[in-house]
Amino acid sequence: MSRMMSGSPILMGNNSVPGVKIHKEVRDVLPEVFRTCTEFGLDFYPTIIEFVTYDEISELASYGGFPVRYPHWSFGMEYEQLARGYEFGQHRISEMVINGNPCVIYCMDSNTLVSNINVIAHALGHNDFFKNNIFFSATNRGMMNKMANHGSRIRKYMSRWGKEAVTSFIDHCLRLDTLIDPAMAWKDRVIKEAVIRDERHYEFPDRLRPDHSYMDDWVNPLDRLEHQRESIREREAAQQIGLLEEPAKDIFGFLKDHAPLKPWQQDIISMLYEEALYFAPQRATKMANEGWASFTDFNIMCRQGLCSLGQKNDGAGIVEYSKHKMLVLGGKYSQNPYKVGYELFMDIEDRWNKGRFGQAYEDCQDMNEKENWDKKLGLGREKVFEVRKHYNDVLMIAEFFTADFCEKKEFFEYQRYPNGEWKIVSKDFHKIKRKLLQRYTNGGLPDVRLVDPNHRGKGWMLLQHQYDGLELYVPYVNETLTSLYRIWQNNIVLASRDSNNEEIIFLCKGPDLSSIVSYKRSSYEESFLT
Amino acid sequence: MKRRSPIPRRITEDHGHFRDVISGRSRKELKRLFKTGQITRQRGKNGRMIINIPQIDIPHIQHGDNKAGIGRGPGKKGDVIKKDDPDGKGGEAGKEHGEGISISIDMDAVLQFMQDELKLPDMRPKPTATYEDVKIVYNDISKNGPDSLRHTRRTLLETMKRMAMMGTLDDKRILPGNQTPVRLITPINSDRRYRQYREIKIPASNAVIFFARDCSGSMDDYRCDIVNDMSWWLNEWIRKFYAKVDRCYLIHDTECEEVNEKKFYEYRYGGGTKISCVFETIAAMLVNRYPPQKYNVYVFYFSDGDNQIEDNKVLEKIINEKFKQHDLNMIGVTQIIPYRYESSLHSYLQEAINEGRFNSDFLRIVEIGKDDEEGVYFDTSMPEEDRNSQIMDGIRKLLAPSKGIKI
Repeated sequence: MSRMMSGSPILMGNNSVPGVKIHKEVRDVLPEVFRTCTEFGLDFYPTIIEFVTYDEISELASYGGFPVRYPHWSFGMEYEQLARGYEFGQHRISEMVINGNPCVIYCMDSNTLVSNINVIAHALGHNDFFKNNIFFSATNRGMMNKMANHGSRIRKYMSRWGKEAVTSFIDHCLRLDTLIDPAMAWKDRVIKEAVIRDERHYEFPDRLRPDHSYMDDWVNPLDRLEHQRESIREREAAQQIGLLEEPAKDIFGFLKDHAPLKPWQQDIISMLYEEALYFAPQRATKMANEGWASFTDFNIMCRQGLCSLGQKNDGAGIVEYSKHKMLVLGGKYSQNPYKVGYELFMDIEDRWNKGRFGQAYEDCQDMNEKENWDKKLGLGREKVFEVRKHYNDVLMIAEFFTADFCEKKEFFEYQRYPNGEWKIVSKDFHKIKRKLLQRYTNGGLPDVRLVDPNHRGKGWMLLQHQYDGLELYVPYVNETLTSLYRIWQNNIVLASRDSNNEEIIFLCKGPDLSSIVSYKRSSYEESFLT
Repeated sequence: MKRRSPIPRRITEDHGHFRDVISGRSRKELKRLFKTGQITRQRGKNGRMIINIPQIDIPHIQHGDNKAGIGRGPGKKGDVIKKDDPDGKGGEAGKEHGEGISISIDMDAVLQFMQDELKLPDMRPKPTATYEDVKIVYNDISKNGPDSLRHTRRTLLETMKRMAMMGTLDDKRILPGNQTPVRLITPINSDRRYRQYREIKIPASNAVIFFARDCSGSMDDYRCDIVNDMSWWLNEWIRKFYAKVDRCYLIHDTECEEVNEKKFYEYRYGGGTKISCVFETIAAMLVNRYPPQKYNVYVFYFSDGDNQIEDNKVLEKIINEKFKQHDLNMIGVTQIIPYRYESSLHSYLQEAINEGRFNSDFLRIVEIGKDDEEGVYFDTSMPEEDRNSQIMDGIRKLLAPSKGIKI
């Protein structure tokens, strides 16, 4: 026990925590695992390890790791998929890590010892990432309690207003919870009290003070003053009707504050908003996070040799470990975030160890020299820890996805042809990188912004999709717009582009799908003339 | 989903709610299946029907699948990495989440849907003079009977009535061993009452369905498939209303033969066509085995409509002479994708109905394989939606409510 305490304080799963059970063989090797992880340089929160059955882990996973959340059928749906997937042998969840302080790790009790050590090392990698990565710096570490509070509040509303009404309201909110701005997590959250003030604050154009009064017309030209007066007028008008200064990404947050809702609805929407903000950084760092955890467990298990921990002879666990790794990363040519992240971290470590970066390396024209470039800098370890601290998926791809990496790992771009064949269309590095960046920007979701909550002076909500070559999936957009209509209780207008890059406008005039009309830009304008 | 742990868990509630949502969706899905006629492809089993409903999802604003992406592996520009399934489903797979969820629905609910969607009437068994069942109910009183059936309360009542009339009801007597006098009620033989049974006659609600089809060389697999689909649903529907339903399967070319159900659907035989022979056989069976006074009789005949013109006249004669007077419930004639439109069975019967030689409620004719624009489909390349919706229409037309006649 004393050895364990040398690193971070560890709350180990034992009898001191009620309801927590842990395998004895795992408990015996745990101090060694924690010591090795600390020596590797990981800096993690105190950890609770719990062993659960597949059924329980399916339940936990369907609640996003929080078994105390509000009741909603969508969790039941997740559960059905996960539990059935396990029963049919399609997939298995081997671990679940909850970002919090203390951090909770759920392990599958049917895993072998090697898998469990691997899983714990992997989870400690996640734990370290949660603690150190800059994008998680604003998340609430006591989210378990918060979620439980939300659950009990929503239950209270259900008993008061009826389960049906509350559930259907949550249904509509859940459709919108991707329309948030993750940066809002850093904004100070203050509870605004309603202040009734009946005084006016006047603003005047800035005037330069001339030395002589006859200079006034020259130092303060009329058109400049007029321009300033105009902008002041606009600003005041905007303040009066609560307009935005620029397109806002935080649509869900705007609805929370400004939609005409009943108090209980406003409370529910603010809770869901908070939960969405909590999960947002996990979406934005999925690749980096998984890559880092995989990189960690590779280091712990293979480089530090913990594969053979608890085994009869040395190196006995390596096959088991490889098998587990194979399941996670897939085959040689598989393509998943775990694998790309892992390979990027391996590549970064290698490059910084050999000094393959900087102007000199870039400018080197001699292929032979470039091939054998090795400055023996040994900066790799330092660099990967820096990357895990400061990068998310988009930044990582932007900076470390190099042409060399692309070529070495055999990336290609494919496309489906109308005759039903899927063909490789290019192996061009720039195109591939652009596609990858597109996929990871904004969590791979369309960037939709609120341009004007008082469109045409009628209180309509005008949204603009920032088109980047990918069109929207219309059936889902329609469903989402009707939900927006129900919450905003006025017409919703969404401007986007179709596959021919022509402007297309969705106008939602009612709470059901039949009330959505889509226009071309010109006919939309015309529809107001008649 | 079976629950492994005995402890009630939070997910149980949410999972149950999810199943509720699913069953709500299943009603919606069933409605869609009926609307598009795809239900005709389904079969229930053991009183339940299994339908597949697509996976549900919480919609977000998201990108469509533009059928392109980034992959890994060896290969150069222009290499084919995979191909769609020949079914043509592969291309659309991007938006199909999983394979959906199977839900089993009670057949009664399905038939209820059928009733609602097709606006079918409840069928009324015809009132016949014969009684199938005699039920015994003890609901009468008699003056004679065995002691085991004695009605004590009624007996005492009668006794008291008699004594009151005689004025002896209030008389008191001292019984031996008792000091206080008591009133005494003593039944005599004429006061005694006994329970007695009565016979209740229940009218017959038997039905017989004749399924007959042409098995000449021109009835190919595609047409037989339609026969199969239609007769399954007709059978399911009629069975709903009768306690006992007999089914007779008949096939014919130039001669008629009674077969079992399996053979009816699978039998292939090249030969000529003489439709009248099957109606003659049915008429004979009505005399010998299923007297229409005792049975509700439904006749469904399927053919591609190819018949000799002289035989059509024979057929008309048989129907007029041998069927009408027996008061059948109905005859339904279905013509499936004819080879010749002119002078087919359908056109002949239609003409007869138009001229008033048949009652259109009694003899119902349905045509499958009619195209709105081009007249008829002459080959079996009917679009799937057309096929399904025309079958649905056909069933509706065969079973539709009518004024004059009971079905």
